[in-house]
This record gives sequence, structure tokens and C-alpha cells, in this order.
Amino acid sequence: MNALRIATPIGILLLIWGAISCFGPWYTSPVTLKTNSVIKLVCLIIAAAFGFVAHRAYGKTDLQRRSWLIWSLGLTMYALGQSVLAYYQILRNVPIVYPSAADFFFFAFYLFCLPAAVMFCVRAFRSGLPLGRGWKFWWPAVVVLAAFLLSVSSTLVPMFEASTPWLETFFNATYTIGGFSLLAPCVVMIRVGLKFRGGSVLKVWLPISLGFTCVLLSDILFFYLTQYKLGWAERCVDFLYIAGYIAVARGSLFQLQVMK
Amino acid sequence: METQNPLVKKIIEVLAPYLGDNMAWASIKMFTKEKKISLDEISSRHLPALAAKIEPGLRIFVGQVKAEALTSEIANLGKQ
Repeated sequence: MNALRIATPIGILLLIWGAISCFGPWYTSPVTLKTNSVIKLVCLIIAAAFGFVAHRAYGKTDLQRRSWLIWSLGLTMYALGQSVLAYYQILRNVPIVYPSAADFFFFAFYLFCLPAAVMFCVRAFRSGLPLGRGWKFWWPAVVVLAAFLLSVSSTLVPMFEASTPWLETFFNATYTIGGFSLLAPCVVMIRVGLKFRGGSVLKVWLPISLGFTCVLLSDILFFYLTQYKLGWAERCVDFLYIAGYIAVARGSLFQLQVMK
Repeated sequence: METQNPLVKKIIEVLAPYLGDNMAWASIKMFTKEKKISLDEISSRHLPALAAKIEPGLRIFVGQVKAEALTSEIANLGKQ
């Protein structure tokens, strides 16, 4: 498993590159934009591909098998969306329009990954391992959903009041609602992952859940970026995307190692 | 170390690389609580039941093949 052994150092190098490129003076250069676009796409392809491999590695009677399949389909949608963005950035060399065809794939991503993430959590909850019962298990999700409800007036309401085209409003709302909804099971997965400190299960669950948390926070921040024209946030959002994709790819890779 | 029982230590050695020390200990303690025995009282006759207890959880996280390999190793620890 040499490929797995070099996955972590490569991931760290890419993360350092992401930080330098996003917060350095070269952020807007075409080379940086194209390189980061390729990194994001490759990470998503790796995450989706190894998700499918993990799905196949689970036995036909394993409950988790279907969760991995749906999860991987969601990641495939995300990779397709990212490939549309890469097409604009690399091949056509033009700024990305919003909304674009990519956003339909990103919308599909939520349709797959939200039920898959909930399934991951429910399976863990019913696994019989001492991961906490009832409130002790689900409280992180409740906190996220409560935060969403409290922030509706500052997140969803301005979207519908803004005079943006309906499709843009639809995607803005989707990213916020979808982001918070998927964030809820993801923070539960972070807590579950931390229960396995020192074990190889942690190397799968923590990167995947933390990675998705980064991506979803980026999606939520993206709205503020477009709505309030916060230029500085663009760099943070871009870095969070890169960090998130790298972590998710690494987690998916390690699921295979855990199962071998 | 919460017990001097060598069997428990062996079980931890099998589970910890996957579940981590804390979860491995917690899983064994959960079993002892259910059986109303102490960690020191775990003997080879308890191992098949312990293996059966943790197998569904292991299957969720490491898959059927690995879970069966680990639980079979645990069940056979007393025979070594």
C-alpha cells in the first residue's frame, strides 16, 4: 500500500500550497487559479473513486455498503460540478459564471450526500459500540440546526429579499439550507471520529467529516461573498474548499486501508 | 492499566489498532457491565460472547471481512 503511505505527505504539501496560493500575492494569477482548480478536481475524483472502492469492499450484507455507494454518487456529482468550473477556468480561460451548469451538479450532491451522511450517523448510533446514547450522540447536530434556525433572518431572508434572478436565489438558498443540513450529520461524525482516537477508524472518519465541514462552511460563506461583496472572504473560502477536498480524499483513501 | 488480566490486554492489543485504546476499553467495559462481571473476571469462556457483541459495530466501521478476522482472533485468544 505504498500509494497510501505517500498520501499523507502529498496531502500536507498540497495543503501548504493551498495556503500559500490563497493568502499570497499570486492568488489572482492564472497559474494559481488553474493549479488550484486541478487540485480540487483531482481530490474529488480520488474521494469519489475510493468511495466506490470502499462500497465494493464492504460485504453484500454489510449495512454500511449502501451508505458508501450513495456517498460516492454524491461525491461524483461534486466532481462533475467541479469539472465544469475547471472547464471555464482552464480550457476557456474565462471567469466562472454563477449560476452555471456546475451548480446543478452541486445541487445533486446534496441530494445524495445528505441521506448518506445521515445513514452513516444512524449506522454508527446503532452499531452497538459505546458511542453515546440519545442526546449524548446527537447533540452536535441539534446545535447546528438550532444555529441555522437562529440565523434564518440573516441568511435566508436577505436572499429572498434581494433582487437577484430566481435561479441564483434558488442556488443561494440551496447552498445555505443544504450546507447547514449536511453540516449537522458531519459534526456528529466528527464527534464519532474522535471517539476512535489512536485507531485507524479515526483516520477515515475525522478527515472526511472535518473536510466536509470545511466545504460546507465555504458554501455558507459563499453566499455572504456574493451578497455583500466581501473580497477578503474569497481567499478564505477558496482555501477552505482546497483543505476540505484534500481531507475528504485522504479519508476515503484510508477507508480501504482500514478494511484490508 | 485498569486490570492485570492478561486476556483483556490481549483483546485490547487486537482492537486498539482499529478502534483506538479508549474505544477498545469502553467496548470491553460495556460487555462486562452487561454480564455483571469485572474486567479481572473475563476468561476464555467469555470471549465468543464478547466477539459476538462487538462484531456488528466493527462491521460498520471496518467491513465484514476485517470484523470477522478480528472477532475470530478475539474468540480464539483463550486457546493460544
